[in-house]
Amino acid sequence: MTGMLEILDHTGDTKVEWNPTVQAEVEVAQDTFDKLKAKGYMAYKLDANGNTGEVLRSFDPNAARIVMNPQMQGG
Amino acid sequence: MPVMVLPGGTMWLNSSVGSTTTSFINLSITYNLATTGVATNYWPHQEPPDHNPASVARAREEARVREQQQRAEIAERRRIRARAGDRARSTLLSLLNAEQRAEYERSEQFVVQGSDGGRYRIRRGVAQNIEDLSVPYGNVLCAHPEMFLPEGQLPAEDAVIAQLLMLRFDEPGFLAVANRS
Repeated sequence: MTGMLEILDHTGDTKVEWNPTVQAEVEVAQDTFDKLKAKGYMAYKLDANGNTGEVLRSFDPNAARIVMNPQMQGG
Repeated sequence: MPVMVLPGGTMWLNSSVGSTTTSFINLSITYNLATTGVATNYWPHQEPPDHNPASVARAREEARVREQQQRAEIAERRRIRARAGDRARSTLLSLLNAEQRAEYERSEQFVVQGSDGGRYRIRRGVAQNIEDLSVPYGNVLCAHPEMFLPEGQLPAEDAVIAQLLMLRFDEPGFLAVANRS
C-alpha cells in the first residue's frame, strides 16, 4: 500500500506518494519530510481515513498518510 | 507653512510669512528663471512634458495594454486561489467524521474533541475562529499556521486543517501557542 505525504501550501496541498517497498520513493518522501521539518513544519501521521493518528517527529515509511503544515503561531 | 508641495512635485514658497496677505512663489519657476532665463514649471532633473500627439497616443496605448495585462494577472491569481481553496476544502472534509462533515457543509463549522478531552468549535477562518466550549460563555482562541509563505498565501481551509489536527493530537501544544480572548 502506498503512503501519502500531504503538504498544506498555497495550492491547497501538494501530495508526495511513495511505495514502502521502493527505496528510491521512500528516500524522496523522507527528504521532503526532513526539509520541511527543518523549516519548522508540523507533521501528523494518520490512518487512511484521517480519524486516528499522532504527532510525527521523524518520517515513518510505513505510515498510510502524513499531513504537514507550517508552524502554528498565536494570532 | 513656508513651503507647500503639490501633487506632481511643484513646490511653492509662502512669501508672505509675517504679513497679512498670502502669496506663493513657484520655486521651480523661480529656480529655472534664475538659472536658465526660462520660466518652466518643472525641476531641472525632470523631463519636460511631451505634448506631441503621436507621443501622447503611444503613451495612452501603452497604459491601456498595461492595464489589460494587470487585469488578466489579477483574474489568473483569483482562479489559482479558487482552485487552491477547493483542494484545501476537499482535504479538510476527508479529515472529518460524518457528523463533522455534515455540519461543516451546512454551516462551515464543526466541533472537535481535543487530545486532553477539551471540546472546541472551529469555524471556517484563520484568526479568532475557535471557541473553547469547556469554558462557560466560551473563550475565543486564536492560533493558525504561518499563512503567508514565499510561494503564496494558504487557503483558509488549510488553517482549519492545521487547527483541527493540532487540537485533535496535541491539545496542550495548541493551548500553549494560542492567544485567548
